[in-house]
Amino acid sequence: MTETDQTLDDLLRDADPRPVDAAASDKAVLDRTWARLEAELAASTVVPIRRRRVRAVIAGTAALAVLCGGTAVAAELLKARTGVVATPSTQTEEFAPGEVIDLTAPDLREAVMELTRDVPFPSEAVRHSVVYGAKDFDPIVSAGPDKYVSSSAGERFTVARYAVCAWSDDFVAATAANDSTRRKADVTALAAAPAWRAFSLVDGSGTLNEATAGIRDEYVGTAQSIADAAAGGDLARLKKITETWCVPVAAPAGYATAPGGPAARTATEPATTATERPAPATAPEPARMSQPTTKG
Amino acid sequence: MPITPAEFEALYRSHAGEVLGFLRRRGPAADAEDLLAEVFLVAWRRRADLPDAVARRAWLFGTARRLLLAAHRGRVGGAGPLDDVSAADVEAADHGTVGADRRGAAVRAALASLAEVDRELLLLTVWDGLTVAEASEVVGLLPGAGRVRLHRARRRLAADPTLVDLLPSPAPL
Repeated sequence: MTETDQTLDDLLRDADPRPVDAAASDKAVLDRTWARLEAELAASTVVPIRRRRVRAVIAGTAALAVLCGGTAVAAELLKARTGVVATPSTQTEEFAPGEVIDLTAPDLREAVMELTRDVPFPSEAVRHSVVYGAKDFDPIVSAGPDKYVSSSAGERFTVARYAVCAWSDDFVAATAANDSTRRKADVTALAAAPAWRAFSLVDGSGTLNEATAGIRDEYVGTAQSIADAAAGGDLARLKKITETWCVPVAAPAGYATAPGGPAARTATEPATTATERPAPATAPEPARMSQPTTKG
Repeated sequence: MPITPAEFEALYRSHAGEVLGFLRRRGPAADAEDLLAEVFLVAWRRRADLPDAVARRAWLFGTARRLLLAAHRGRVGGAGPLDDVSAADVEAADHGTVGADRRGAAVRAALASLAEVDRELLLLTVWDGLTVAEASEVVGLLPGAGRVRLHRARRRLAADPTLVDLLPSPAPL
């Protein structure tokens, strides 16, 4: 190394923004992070891959009424974010942990928007299109004749999955448009998707059970496959994956509150909620947008 | 063969500190802890196809870099944090290590004039202590190409008008 090189290195080291005494403060962070990781690993060590949607299954309306400290009728008056955290005793096999979300509340879409603000989308317009225009929010299962509940972690899984589809769509569109800058951005976003906090870190009551961990890993694994296909420019593989994992949005014009509300839905109908409404005027046409298939 | 939990812990104990340092140097300090957790969650999830032990350090830094870029893009859109050195500047100012110091400002300005990949190669080797081969891997280059680019980056930096006056004067160093 020449003297100039040595001096240059010294100058660069002097410009290092890292404090010289950083090691001491790092120790606490490293210990804390390891504790977090241990909890995550304990939850995800057993990960049977199941082709199944995260579903909110709480044992009947009575369970929700107990959770919310009132009757089912009273629960309907609550906002989507109930503030009630699912506990191991109320969390059934397929119910993701976190805050109980009332899918019939009129502010559901706003609540989902709030809960998933950190999930990256190609644009805010696309985010709006997905959150406000999505035909269903997986998980949605009746917990009774007229009650639909989910969890904050489940909603975050779902929106993150939709976001992966959105980035994949954007990559395909950028390829068609021969827009290399946009393609690169899409590849970068997709590469980061498997590590999105919405997939990896669960809020609320903490850990995923075996079933939901399996579903999470399925989502993450598919997101990784999509990312790999995009990174390799393999459109055929991308299409093969997304055509089974994502389906075009079928949100019709004038998409509005279903007459009769959720109770009017049958078990064979696609999941819908009483709060469905048209996407905001600012949202783009969803024709290009894909969403995860409703097939579990 | 997937790494065992014990091996994973050893991986964490060996490299988490330097990955944390990398994250704190390149992005907001407030994000570093969460991103560190995400780096190692990705490592655990990919435990079946992690590279050989000798290549894992570079793999971890590469993952950290991608997560950092994605986080930055998610916050403000557009270019990544390494396209300018503002994050490092803020960090430096916060800690008062270089602050408004003339040399620090000159170095940052000179660094900002480099291509992002060249700058990152340089900083990975000087700040983070990676080998040239590791740094090349982190930015997606073969070692030979990384070595050439690093050499050119050094020459460009040494010729930068803002640093020329500083280089012949080793006294303050």
